[in-house]
Amino acid sequence: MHKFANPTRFLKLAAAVFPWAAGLTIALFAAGLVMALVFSPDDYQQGSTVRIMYLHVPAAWMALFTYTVLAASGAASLIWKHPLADVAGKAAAPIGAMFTALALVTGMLWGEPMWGTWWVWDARLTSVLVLFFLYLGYMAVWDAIDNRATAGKAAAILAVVGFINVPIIKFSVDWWNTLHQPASVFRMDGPTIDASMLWPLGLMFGAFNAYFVTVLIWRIRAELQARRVRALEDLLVRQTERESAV
Amino acid sequence: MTGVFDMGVYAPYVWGSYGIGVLLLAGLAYQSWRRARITAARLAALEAKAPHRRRRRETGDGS
Repeated sequence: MHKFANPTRFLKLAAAVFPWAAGLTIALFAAGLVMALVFSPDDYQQGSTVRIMYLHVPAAWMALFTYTVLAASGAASLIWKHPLADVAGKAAAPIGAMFTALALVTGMLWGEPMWGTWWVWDARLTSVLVLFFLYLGYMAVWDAIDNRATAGKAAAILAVVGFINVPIIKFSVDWWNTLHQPASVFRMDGPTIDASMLWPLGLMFGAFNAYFVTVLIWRIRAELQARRVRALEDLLVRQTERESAV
Repeated sequence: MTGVFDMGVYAPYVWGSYGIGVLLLAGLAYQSWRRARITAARLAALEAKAPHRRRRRETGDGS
């Protein structure tokens, strides 16, 4: 793992992975959407609203997964001071915030017809809203502090401390009485969803993962380039100052 | 094909979810792609201005 913390080596690896990730994103979304919207059956209780699950559940899983990436990069940044760790965290945060927003909005659109309400302050919904604010806070720290080393450290600490929310979200449906249903896919006794619904869900989950890798590579590239731009700009300014002083 | 995309009374909720999903996913992907392109162009312009910074041995083709 450590050797990929070198930006040059990472960019080489990313260039090899990128076409596969982008291709898989398109193929899996195409297959997943057709399965989700055309071939999967309506639920006998929930009717067509069950199709919201194929967006809502992968978005929620990815919101948690991305935060885990954020916390891991925060830890790597604080412990080993990997040059790429800060960059990876900064690049991942907006993707995670978007996944969380999507999970929240699709959840509201599912909740209104099925529960009769857009929102309740139960443990699952509230902890996911807190996750959204953690993402926003992480991004705000990067924006608010001019010194990049200080900003990176503060953001990394926030990411690591905020990780406590991830198991709380995962187990909130077991620890408290929530309006939100408990897990039906990742269970000790296996999934309780029929294969006709598990397939589109699996395809969409794969699509969301491939999307994450694709967009993360774009964002890491942009961040690394932006850092080199800043370094070169500083160099040019210093050079101009030296020349005018002579 | 009749009825395949018929979501019945729940159509606004289902299509609303997928509409927002496409907007958010495509929007962030586009913004990320565009930012990578803009920073690449800016970097190329700056490197042309400060050529002495390039390490020719490492670039291989000398470009």
